Amino acid sequence: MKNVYTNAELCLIWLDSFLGLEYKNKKEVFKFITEKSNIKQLLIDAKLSLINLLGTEKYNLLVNSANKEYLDFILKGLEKEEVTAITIISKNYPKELKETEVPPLVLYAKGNVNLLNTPCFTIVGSRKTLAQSLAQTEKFVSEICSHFTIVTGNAEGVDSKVISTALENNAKVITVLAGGINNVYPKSSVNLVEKVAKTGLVLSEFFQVPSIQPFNFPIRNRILAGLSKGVLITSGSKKSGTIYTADYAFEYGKDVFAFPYSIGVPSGEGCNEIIKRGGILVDTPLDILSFYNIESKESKIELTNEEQKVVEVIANGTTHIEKISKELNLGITQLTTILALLEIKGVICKNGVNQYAII
Amino acid sequence: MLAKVLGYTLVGLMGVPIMVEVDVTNGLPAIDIVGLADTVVKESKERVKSAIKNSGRQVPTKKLVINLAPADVKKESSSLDLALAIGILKASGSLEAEVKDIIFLGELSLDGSVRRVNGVLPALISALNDGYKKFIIPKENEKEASFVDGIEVIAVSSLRETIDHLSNLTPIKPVEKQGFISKAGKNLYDSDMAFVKGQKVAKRALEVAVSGGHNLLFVGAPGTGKTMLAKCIPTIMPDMTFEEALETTKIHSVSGVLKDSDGIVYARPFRSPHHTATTISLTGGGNKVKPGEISLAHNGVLFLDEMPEYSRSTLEALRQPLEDGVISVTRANGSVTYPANFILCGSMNPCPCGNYGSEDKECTCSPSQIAKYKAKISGPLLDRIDIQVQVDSVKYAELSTEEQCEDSKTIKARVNETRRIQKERFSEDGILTNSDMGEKHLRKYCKLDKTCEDLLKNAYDKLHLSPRARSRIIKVARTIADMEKSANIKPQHILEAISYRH
Ligand SMILES: [Zn+2]
Repeated sequence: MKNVYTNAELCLIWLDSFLGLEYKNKKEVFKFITEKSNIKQLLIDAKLSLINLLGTEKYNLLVNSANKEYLDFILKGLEKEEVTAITIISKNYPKELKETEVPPLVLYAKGNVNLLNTPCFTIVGSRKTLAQSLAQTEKFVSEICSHFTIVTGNAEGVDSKVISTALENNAKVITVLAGGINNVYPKSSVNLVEKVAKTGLVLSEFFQVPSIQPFNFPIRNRILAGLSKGVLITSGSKKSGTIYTADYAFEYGKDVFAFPYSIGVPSGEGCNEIIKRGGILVDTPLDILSFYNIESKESKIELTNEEQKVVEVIANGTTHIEKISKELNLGITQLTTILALLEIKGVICKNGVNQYAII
Repeated sequence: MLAKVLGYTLVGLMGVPIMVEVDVTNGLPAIDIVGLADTVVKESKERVKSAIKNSGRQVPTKKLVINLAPADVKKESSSLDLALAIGILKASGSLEAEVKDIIFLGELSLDGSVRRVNGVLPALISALNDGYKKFIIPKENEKEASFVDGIEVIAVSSLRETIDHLSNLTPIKPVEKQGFISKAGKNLYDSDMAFVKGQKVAKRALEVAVSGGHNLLFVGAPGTGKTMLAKCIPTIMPDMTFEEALETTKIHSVSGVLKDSDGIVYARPFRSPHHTATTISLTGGGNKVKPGEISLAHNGVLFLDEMPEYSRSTLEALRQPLEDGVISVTRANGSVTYPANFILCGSMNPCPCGNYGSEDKECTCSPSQIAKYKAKISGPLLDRIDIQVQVDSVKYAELSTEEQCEDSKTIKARVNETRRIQKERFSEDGILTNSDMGEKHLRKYCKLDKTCEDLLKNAYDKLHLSPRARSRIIKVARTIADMEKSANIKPQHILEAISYRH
């Protein structure tokens, strides 16, 4: 794969390679970039403004790097890692993201870059999440992924679940990294990220992040929020990073959805907070599909009378197997087989010791 | 004068007759023992001398040379004391009785009394196989001898008694045989399923596990009744047959853990080594090549509480015995094999902090911490565990105290029946229970109809089962079908088995 970049794109790629330059400084230089720009000319055009911003010393550093060798070095690095740089002036830069307030000037992408301009929907949540909420996340992803490209992060817990479910469904999926595309963080996600690169798309604002810092997560989260029409938060404590994602989504005028939680579930307090701030409460994937006027072909699961009764009892809050057994006057062995079948049918899931929950 | 007296020494559970040859020669008074005797045997010189004196006899003031043959067998037991003393007495002419063909076992005290020794039962059985029929053993080991047919055993409490018996002054009556009385119906255990309240899922899983001989793993928060449940496993296992009891007794006898009162082990062993236990203490070995905990658990239960806390190497050492039912312990010259056929029952917390899945406590573990904790039990070892069961907190179980629970005796009767069905089915396969089935047995005895196949396939997709889980589920389903006396495995059997997946 050999990418061909225009002169203006090359200017941006070159500019973005200076990790010491802040976003606002790059944005300032960006103003001077035109279709006809080349790096040397750019430095001359933007000289006054740059010296003003950076001081002479830093400006001279840029001038010293304004040569073909330096640029080739960067491009070779991209090529070697099969990474495509998508600049804000590139044709395939995602439109949803471009309209946000601080869009990344360059996105580094690995995989199917065509996904960037498909309708996207973001699903994120915390590392620590109830088994039941994870199962529900799985269900939502399975239902929604045939209509949207699913966007998520790469953390353990919900994000990993979103990715693995999307991959199992052969769906389109984008994972946005907080670390660099060339040094994935956390390491535990490396395998999953590699799988995404094969059929989906891996995205980061950085080619390389020398060392991951706490601020890398919220700035990644603005991309998670920016790429999509809508964002679903399936779990998150009050202080978790997923709440940032929701905040960005509100700010950018996206549709924000969240799972409801009962009082006193720490991993759900953030979701309830989002709903209080105007997020849309969803408890079935249909809520999201109908919001976008998508006809769902949700297949009706056939349940026997007995199975239906068990489901109703669980839905009414009797979740422990012995309590269900008592309420329905069913033997443990028989009930065990019914519960196992309902699990296979994807209606319920295990949720704690001998407890079950409706998905 | 040269005297020859027989002793016996064990190598593992098998033994070798030792010929004690004593020669009295002129020279400075001394006792020399030759023939690969370890320090224990060398120390016995002093005990034997003192015991002879205190029994009213004289140790000749001459040079005594004692040879222990065969020379290449290491003799490491003080049980040769008695044979040594008799040899010295014979050689010095103070005992004239014929001792040919009699095997002497026993340790001497300084005062001349004969003390109990370890391993009498395996020694008797092994010597009987070698053709020996007459024995003189410590009185304290009398009970062990009473179960072996076809031998004449004299039990003595002192050297003087031994001499008086041999010289026909005060003959002692041989130990009376007591047949193996099945203790079926007798209460051999402190635990009983009736004492465990609630825990219906776990109790059912326990019955399935014991019925099919499946290893199992309890998962539950700290303070749940995991240990209590585990202790119930022996109570619902079939009573030991005489052969099983003898095998287990041999091991306990060699290890010196045999209780005096019975002489034979009636109750199925329940061994629960702590997680700080060394690998050797589990598998056996060390200087004395003693059986380890897994052999002491032979025909019973090995309970590993907090399984992920055991060292990886210790857990790995369980794999081979779980496969073969025996353990080979290497020693300086060759190796010794001990039986080690047991039900493995492990327990673990759902996560490092123990609160994962709890109704009222918050789990503070990250997904990777939980995964790391679970991964401490290696995949190959987990493959040998067919049933995983969740155990409720005691607090929850107490809610159902008013209910009458089945006792172990009732459950055991059902287990016996299910075991009988398996024994008949496998009569020509050389295995006893469903858990022993290999791929070829699965093909032969566990044919699945289309409904069951489809069910398994669906479960495989939806529940993300590993390929290895399949044969475990089928084995357990076979057991559940046997419990219902169903010739074929039906969907409900598969479903219940699926509920016991890892
Ligand atoms: Zn925990």
